[in-house]
Amino acid sequence: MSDRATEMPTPPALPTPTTVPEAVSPTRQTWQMFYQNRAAMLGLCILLVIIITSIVGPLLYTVPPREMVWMPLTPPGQSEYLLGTDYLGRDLLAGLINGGRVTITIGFAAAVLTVLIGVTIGALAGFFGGWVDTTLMKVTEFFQVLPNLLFAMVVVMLFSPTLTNIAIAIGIVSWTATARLTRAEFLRIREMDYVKAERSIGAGNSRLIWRVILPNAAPPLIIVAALSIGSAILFEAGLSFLGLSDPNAMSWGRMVGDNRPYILDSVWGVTIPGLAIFLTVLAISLVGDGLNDAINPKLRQR
Amino acid sequence: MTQNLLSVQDLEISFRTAAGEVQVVRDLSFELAQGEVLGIVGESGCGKSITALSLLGLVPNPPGRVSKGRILLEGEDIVTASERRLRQIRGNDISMVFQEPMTSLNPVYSVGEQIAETARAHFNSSRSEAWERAIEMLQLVGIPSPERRAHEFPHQLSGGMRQRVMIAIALVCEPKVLIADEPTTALDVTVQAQIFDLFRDLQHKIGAAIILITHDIGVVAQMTDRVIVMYAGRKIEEGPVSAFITDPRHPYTRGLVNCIPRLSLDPSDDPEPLFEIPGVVPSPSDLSLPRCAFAPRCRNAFALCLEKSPPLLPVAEGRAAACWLETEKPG
Repeated sequence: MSDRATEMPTPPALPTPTTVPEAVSPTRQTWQMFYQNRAAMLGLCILLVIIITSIVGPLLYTVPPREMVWMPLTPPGQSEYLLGTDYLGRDLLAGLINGGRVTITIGFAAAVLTVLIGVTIGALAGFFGGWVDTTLMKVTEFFQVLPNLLFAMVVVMLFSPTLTNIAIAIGIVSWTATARLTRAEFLRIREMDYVKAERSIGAGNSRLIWRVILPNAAPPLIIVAALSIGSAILFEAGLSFLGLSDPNAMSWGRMVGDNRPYILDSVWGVTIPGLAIFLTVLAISLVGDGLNDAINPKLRQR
Repeated sequence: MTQNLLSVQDLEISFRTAAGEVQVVRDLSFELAQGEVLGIVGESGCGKSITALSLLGLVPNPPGRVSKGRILLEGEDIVTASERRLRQIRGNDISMVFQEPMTSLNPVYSVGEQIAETARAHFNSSRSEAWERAIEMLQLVGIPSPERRAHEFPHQLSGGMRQRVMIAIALVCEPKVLIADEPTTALDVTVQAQIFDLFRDLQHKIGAAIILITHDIGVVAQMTDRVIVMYAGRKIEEGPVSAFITDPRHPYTRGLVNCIPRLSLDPSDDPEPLFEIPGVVPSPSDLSLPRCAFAPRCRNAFALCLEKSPPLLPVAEGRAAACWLETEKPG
């Protein structure tokens, strides 16, 4: 408890003592709510540990992840390699640490791409309406009806399975939900009085879209963005499991896929990276839910 | 005579509806001189607000459009101006204060940021200059401890405060014309009085011409120099405010003025029942008949009223009314 208390930002002292409550920005209110949410803070901690391990781990733990270092299929704790080895005698811990980098990078990159495409298309469609809306929504529907996994597989196979291409493939199959949500928010907010008021003092379209409406549409979009990191990681794991991974990089999904045929000989090869994926996605969901709770009450209060 | 700042000529605004194109404002002409306060009065739905929006080039299109006429701001036609030019005019030359202070401020920015942002967009000033300006404006509109209030968010301010902020935003670029569309309808009476005091004050300080749109005759009497009465999209009477209150010519105006309740503590002063104008404003689509739009509700209507719509004719020095009774009068 005391740890959390010290993390609370201390409000700056007022210039003059007065009865009027101090101005608390909505952003700070949100963070205060978030700090008070145990599950969300737990998720954030797990996530930070995973991210830091992925960044620093490969520098500290220098066992090469793709070389045979011990007897194949060694269970954890029976050698100097803490988590044992896989079917080729590769160190599972090294794989986990190095794979985390790849998995998380792809997860974030794909999520950023998802949000960029989705928000842009949704914002333009919702703001301009009319034929712009119709056209963009037809495009969105086209992408929605494509089977996601199949389409991503085709993209990856067409343009060699590099990390960049995998992230792009995941991005372009998963932006549709974000686009629809953004559009709905824009349709709602563009009718607000303050948008009319901004227009009446000379705001142009780009200012209205990016500086006026988007910040007001941000809360649900932030949550969707956070959750889409989780689904991108799962998507990458799925693709790797099917063998569509960068042959030069280790990722968690690929570890699961590689070790699958040997699951009866050693359950660890599949379980350990699987657990890592599960933990990461869980942590991201917790953070996403926490953001949701922290942001929404204020929306109601408005 | 001073050069007219704003001149509206034969303005007609149409809306496309399922039943075809409907004119919500027709044959509207008026002038606005530098530093003048013009009141536009009328019931809900008579075309006041859409006229105000048309002055900013903000008639929602589709379905609406300015189908005829010119709006000249210092000789420049707003109706045909490009969107880019309109953006410069809005805020710089003409700005507007809306009816709803509760919802007209952007909830995600502090009020200081909102004023400063407007100042920055128009003056190309630096961030800190704009912030200074914002605080100055807050001070000007009578917000106490503006340095601190500037950091507050709209939801932390009362309705009256928010309307002051709205006025600050509208005035930060020192427009030549300020349109106030029922600026106090959403506020309670005491705050209303404060806001109007503020308007009058600012008008002296900044010298902007004000178009005050309202349905409150009391406000008109207090605030304006000249009044236009609109009914069903037309101007039916125009004149100086004193004449409007004491000697209304059009039966509709007479009705409006008589609608004001009076307070009396004298028990012997047996008040008459409050006057009301029977009926409602006709919907714009009912106006295709060539009769006086007010005739169905007018107690003085006679045969001619149902046959021909009366033109707006001068009835006295600086006054005009659209009523057959006035034109029939000898002299």
